Amino acid sequence: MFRITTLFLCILLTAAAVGRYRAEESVRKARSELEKLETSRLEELERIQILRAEIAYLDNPERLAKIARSETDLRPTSREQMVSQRQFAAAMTGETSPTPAEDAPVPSEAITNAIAMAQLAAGE
Amino acid sequence: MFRRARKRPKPVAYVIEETHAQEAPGADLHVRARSGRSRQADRAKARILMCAVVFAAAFASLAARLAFITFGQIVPQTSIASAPAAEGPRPEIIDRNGALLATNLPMIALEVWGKEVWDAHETAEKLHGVLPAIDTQSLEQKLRAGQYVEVDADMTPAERQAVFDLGLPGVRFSSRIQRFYPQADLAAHVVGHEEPGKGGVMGLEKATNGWPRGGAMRASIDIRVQQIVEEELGAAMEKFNAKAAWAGVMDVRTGEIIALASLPDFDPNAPGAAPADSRRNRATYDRYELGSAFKAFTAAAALNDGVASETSRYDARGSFKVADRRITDFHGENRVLNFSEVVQYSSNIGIARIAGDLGAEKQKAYLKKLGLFEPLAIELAENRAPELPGQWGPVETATIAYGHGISVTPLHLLTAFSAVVNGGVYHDPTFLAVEGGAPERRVFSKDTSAVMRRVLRRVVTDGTAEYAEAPGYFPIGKTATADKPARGGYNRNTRIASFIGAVPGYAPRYAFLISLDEPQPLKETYGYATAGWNSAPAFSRIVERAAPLLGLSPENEATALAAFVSGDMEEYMEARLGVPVSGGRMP
Repeated sequence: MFRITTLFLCILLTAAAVGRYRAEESVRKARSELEKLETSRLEELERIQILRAEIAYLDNPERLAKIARSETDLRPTSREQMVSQRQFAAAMTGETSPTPAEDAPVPSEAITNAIAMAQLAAGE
Repeated sequence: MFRRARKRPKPVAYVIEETHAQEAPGADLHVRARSGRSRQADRAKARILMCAVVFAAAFASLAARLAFITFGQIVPQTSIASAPAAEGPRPEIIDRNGALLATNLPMIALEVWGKEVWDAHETAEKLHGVLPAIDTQSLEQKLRAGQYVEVDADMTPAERQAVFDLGLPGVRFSSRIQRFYPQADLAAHVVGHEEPGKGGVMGLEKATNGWPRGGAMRASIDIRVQQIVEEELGAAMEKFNAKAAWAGVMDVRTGEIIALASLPDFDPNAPGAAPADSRRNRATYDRYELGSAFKAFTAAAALNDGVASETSRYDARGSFKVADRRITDFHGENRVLNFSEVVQYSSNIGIARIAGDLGAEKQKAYLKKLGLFEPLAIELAENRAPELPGQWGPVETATIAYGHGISVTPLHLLTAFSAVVNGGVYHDPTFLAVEGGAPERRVFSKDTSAVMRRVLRRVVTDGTAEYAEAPGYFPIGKTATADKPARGGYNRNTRIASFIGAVPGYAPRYAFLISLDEPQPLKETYGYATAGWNSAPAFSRIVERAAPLLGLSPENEATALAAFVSGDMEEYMEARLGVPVSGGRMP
């Protein structure tokens, strides 16, 4: 009786020890994986940070203004290019502005373009 | 010889216990005896018990460990960095729209320790092969001397790998965080810069020293407007060959500074490359006698106090004697002027008479309410209190009425002017984007402010600032050309030419200040170097370019005129722009 019990306990102990070893091993692996992921995350964040700084540098208004002047015909928005919501809505629906006195300056190139686009979209 | 000892016979039983049934004399003695088998059984039980205890302990420890592994939290290893480089030791600074103004960048530096180098010549030559910018002779000398040399402060990954592949002894790579300012010299005086080991030393960078780590500081600056302001200011400074220039844009309903420029400026990425004079923030730190812009304050104070009205008339003929001083006009109309014309034509005589009616004490009280007696409550350390006269008699009352005898920072002027035109409310200026606006206090009534808007509009339409006109935005404002103080008086050949204005004039949202320090007269300005010829046109160009970015749309004349006449700015804002009556922010 004693020997059987002892044997059983020994087997159980060995099984538990193996189980623990395997559990610890898996935790070790998981931790190692976590470390790799964390390192990779940090490297990715560093790259993102560098890219953000590069984007900010590329978006620098001084730089863009120089490029716009030398490479394009773009110019600062003039007041003739701006219309109010009411003017725009009136132009899109083909109606005249309900209160023209309030919404001058009209008409502008922007409205003409808006009407042309609306006609194009309608297939006219 | 040797006699083997006789083996003692095993006892049949051991006496293990004897007890007396009674302590009384003659009581029986009980003896309990146990056999050898019984004794072996006892030993076996003890062994089993011992084994059981050992197994129980082992199982308990296993169970505890398994439970810990299963349910316990995994403690992060110390080798895992807890904070990414992006969050760095210092908070980022962004503009009001999220554009980066200052950030932290991870850098890899190449360092070589001379004491660990085996062959200085070989090391220098091989490093030169990867980094051609290296001065090999100088590096070799330093390495031979056993010095610690930083060869490159910012290596690319390819360069790093190439140097690594050389396998040179004594070569090290050190990772570090470097502050980077992607906008370079744009808003340099507002952003400021840091110095290694000292943290931020000027501008908002200094303010970030006490800022919570990990977050970002959101500045009130709009970098797009800043660029327009700096470009136009720089162009005006160059055109009129001015010594220096400064400008500011303020949201008059919140006190937020949208743009602030001080030229010459510097690149915060290399602050040491610029002279110290360029790093000085003239717009917030330097004090100047800013001249006729003060007429707007004097006029508003007199209106508000009831000592003047739009119909009041003042004799501006000849000169006006105050104590031992004689006050004259630069280009006098030499006639009786009404209240509006005094400001329109910038009459020193007229405004001195108005100030006389107001009195020194009330003048002081209003200027104090306009924040012109104290340092501004701003986030920048570059900030100074105005310089007030030692005594405030009738002469000072008269001269301060047109901005002489009192020195203030340009930002003081811009903030006070905002209170004149925004409905009469003073907002503390701020360089941080704030929700709902900075603390405020009422200085003038709404009616006073409405009258002043009309008066200041006439300055543009019929006064000294015709070139400040920006069609559709109906700007209001005041020119100010102030001779600079010199020994024993003022130097008539050196002046500061400023224009301070606001748009849209009928319901101001933004106030602008543009100043040129010692602008020179040109042929095309007919020999004039006054503000109406140089600062006012710059203001107009800035407004026309910046207004669309600021969400301002052009208005037609009838509506603008109606708003000017009614003076009900809030009603206009609500009806036309959908902005709440008070404390609102433009979309």
